[in-house]
Amino acid sequence: MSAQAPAQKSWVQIIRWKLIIAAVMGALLWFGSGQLGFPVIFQWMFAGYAFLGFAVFVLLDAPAMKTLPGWQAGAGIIAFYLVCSALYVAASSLLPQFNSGTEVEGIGRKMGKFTRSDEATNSLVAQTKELSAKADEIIAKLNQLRASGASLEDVGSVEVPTLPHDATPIKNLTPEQLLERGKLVFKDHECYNCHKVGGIGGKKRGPKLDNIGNLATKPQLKDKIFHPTHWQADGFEDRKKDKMPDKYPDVMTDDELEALTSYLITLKDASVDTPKPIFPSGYSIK
Amino acid sequence: MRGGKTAARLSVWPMFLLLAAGFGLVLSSAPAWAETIEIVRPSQFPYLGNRVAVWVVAQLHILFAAFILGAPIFVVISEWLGMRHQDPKYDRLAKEVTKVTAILYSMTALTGGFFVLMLVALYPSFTGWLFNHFFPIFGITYPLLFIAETVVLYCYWYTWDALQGEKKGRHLSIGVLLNLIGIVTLFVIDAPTAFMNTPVRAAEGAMNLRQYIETTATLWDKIDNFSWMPLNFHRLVGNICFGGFIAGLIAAYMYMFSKSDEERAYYDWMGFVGNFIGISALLFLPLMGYVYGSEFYDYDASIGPYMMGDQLSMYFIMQGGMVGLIFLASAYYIWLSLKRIEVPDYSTTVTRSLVAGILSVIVPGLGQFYNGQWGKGAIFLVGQAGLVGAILYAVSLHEGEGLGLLLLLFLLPLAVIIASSSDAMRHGRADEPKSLLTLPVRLIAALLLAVERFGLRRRQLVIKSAFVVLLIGNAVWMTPHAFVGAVSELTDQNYDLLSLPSDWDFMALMPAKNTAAVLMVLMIMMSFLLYTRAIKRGTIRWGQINFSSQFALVFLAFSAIWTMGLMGVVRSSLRKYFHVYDLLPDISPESFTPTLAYSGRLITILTVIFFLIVSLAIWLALGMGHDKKANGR
Repeated sequence: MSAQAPAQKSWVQIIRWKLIIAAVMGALLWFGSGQLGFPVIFQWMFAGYAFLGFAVFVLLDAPAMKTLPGWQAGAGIIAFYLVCSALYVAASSLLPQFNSGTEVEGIGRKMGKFTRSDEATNSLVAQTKELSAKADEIIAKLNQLRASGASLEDVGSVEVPTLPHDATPIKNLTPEQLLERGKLVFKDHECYNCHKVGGIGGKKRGPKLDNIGNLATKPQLKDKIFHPTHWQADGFEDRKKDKMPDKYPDVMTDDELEALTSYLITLKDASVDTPKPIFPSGYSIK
Repeated sequence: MRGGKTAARLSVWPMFLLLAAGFGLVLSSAPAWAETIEIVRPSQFPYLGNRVAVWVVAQLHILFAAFILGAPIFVVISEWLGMRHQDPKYDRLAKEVTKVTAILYSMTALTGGFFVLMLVALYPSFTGWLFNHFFPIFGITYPLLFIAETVVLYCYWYTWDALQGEKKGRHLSIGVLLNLIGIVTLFVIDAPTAFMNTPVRAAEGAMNLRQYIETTATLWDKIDNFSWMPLNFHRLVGNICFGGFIAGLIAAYMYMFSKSDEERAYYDWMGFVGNFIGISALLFLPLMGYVYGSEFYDYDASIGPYMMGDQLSMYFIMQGGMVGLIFLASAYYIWLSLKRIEVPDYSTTVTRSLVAGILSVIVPGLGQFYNGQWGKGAIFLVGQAGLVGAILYAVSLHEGEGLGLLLLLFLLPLAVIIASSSDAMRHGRADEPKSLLTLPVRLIAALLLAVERFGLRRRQLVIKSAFVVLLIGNAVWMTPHAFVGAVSELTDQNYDLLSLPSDWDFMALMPAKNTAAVLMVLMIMMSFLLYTRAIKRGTIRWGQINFSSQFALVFLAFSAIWTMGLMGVVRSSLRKYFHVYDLLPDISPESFTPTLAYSGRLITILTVIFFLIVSLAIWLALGMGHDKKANGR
């Protein structure tokens, strides 16, 4: 680091010990993490860091780069950009990818809240689809609709008439179908992110729900989902963060709520420690 | 310089006319348009699709805007330093960056106009709705601010030579005014952006969101939403960081093509200043990002898991990797910078810094460890004790750089204390192992012990130890709960193959990530401390830095801007399948969360396009007259 720089080492000298240390560290991390129960993919990751360290330390001790004249510097910059680009594209592609397809299906189902459910509007949507080839006529109809005071929801739904949307009213479903619909609602609204069921799901933000069917009634669960502050689960009373969202009246239809709670009350695994509900004194469902 | 002025003058007048015409058009037609808007079918952008088309234009606009808002902040500071120290280098730096800024300002305006056109054509219903709700901003305030900023920017540029000497203060005042307008512009346009993520809600049960927004909420209610102020500060600091790295990029280009030692010396210095500003601002960004993200949790706790555990979780792993690379590259640049300084020993300061840093982190960390037994009050007291102890230690340095360390010591324990006071910690979950939260801290303590025990007063070892800690910190930051694209994809069959063992689950939790971020920030601060110490005691051989350092500067700029694009996707995706969250659905076929691979490719392409344009701007502003200037000397 002083002005009297030490004699420049050869590449072999620079690499030799670092490679040995990296190999030892990598092996230790690999076997050590394996012994501690880490899955193989994590073992690879930890061992990979040992070799990233190797690369970094080789770079630190590498001989000084020669000054590149004019066009060589320009070519060097372009090559460097290409390498960086390839590196970032590769890294972002190698990490696990979320399956967008499953999300698209869920979005189609969740559109229920944003599509008018009365028969007149359903008829209008059907009519709109039928006439989609006649764009001018549709536009005229929609303008009429807007002039009559209808909301933007109707306008938005015209943009994508082809999204999958299972609108079968729940009154027409069998109990089994209702249960399946309830599971889908649980998935679509990402309840699993906070609530574990069957050991799968969120990280303790909300209570496990495996035994909720033995602890709360369907009306109580409906009340909780649409009015999260009306009652709390034991151990989750005074939260300032990670509170249950109060948005569900805005994004969930009554049918979805019915299906979801129909599913939840079937969860009766008493071996799981689902927190008990704590109802405030004088609690009643309004 | 004359040639540069002419080029700038050529670009400004057509832009003034364009802006004036556009402004007049907006004022004369917008209210009428707002009342009589026709419902039209959205156009379909060929090949790319509507979302990608808007994505491309929006991201380019934000990248240019970030630079033209961020660069003037440190330009003015640089000019002030030049005046204060009577050092012409600072003034030259400020002037050269302003020259590039003036050119890129045109690109900001062009991409901004293009962005609006795309929105109107491709998402007419939503755009009309949003413009109507924020008409005083889109129709009046923003255009006025933009025009004011244009006028002041060009005043600032054109009066540079005229307002020298005793008149320098006046020129600085114009620069300060430019920044004030820029910051207000940023805050104003952030309002609808933040609103789209976190539209204000009525008190629970009062009325539903749509009803409230359409009938009751005032403009101010809509502006002052949950994420507005955190977004403002996050972007403000991010813009300074951005400006710093672009200044570093300018310096790297110019250094590489310099033909004289004098020029190389100057651009070597400029590269260091750009990197210093970029990294200094970057150190605050994790904290800013934490506050910003925390607001999303407060607004709607379901956004948090979507962001950190579900669809976007791998984006944050990628972000961890990028930040780690940026820190490593910055430390590498400092390493190379130190190599060209003749300097005596400075290990005492290093030891003190390390001890102070460890005190500041380890004591609150221990408080967390004993949280279950001691409770909330005790952890607060312990955290404060650690903070006070560390500050006292830092004060004992009696050196100028102690001030910077003080700031660091104030902020870092604060971050740890914030983390420790989270609900999770306060509730003291007994089944969550917390002891290993301090693992990285204990590792660094062991490292320090090794340095002390063997009496290794060698600077290289200290710096290399910082690299070790950076790697460990980055490994912790990068460790996910599970190697899956989303929690929902974990099943009974793949859980054990892809998830952390339950005893080690804490490695994926926020306290561990915070600790890792704190450690990495600490190491970079320590490296800078070493550098400033070396500058004071040693002799710098400006212009003799290892040539590879210039690639480090290019890498820093490229990586920082790539990361900015990545985080932009995250912010935008947090709206899920809504244009305005929970309020106005985006039911176009493209409203799903893009995969990381897809986003990665697009972000890379956009970053390359941005760099091509910026490189051209640098060449136009500084490169074309460079040879003549050098020969003229």
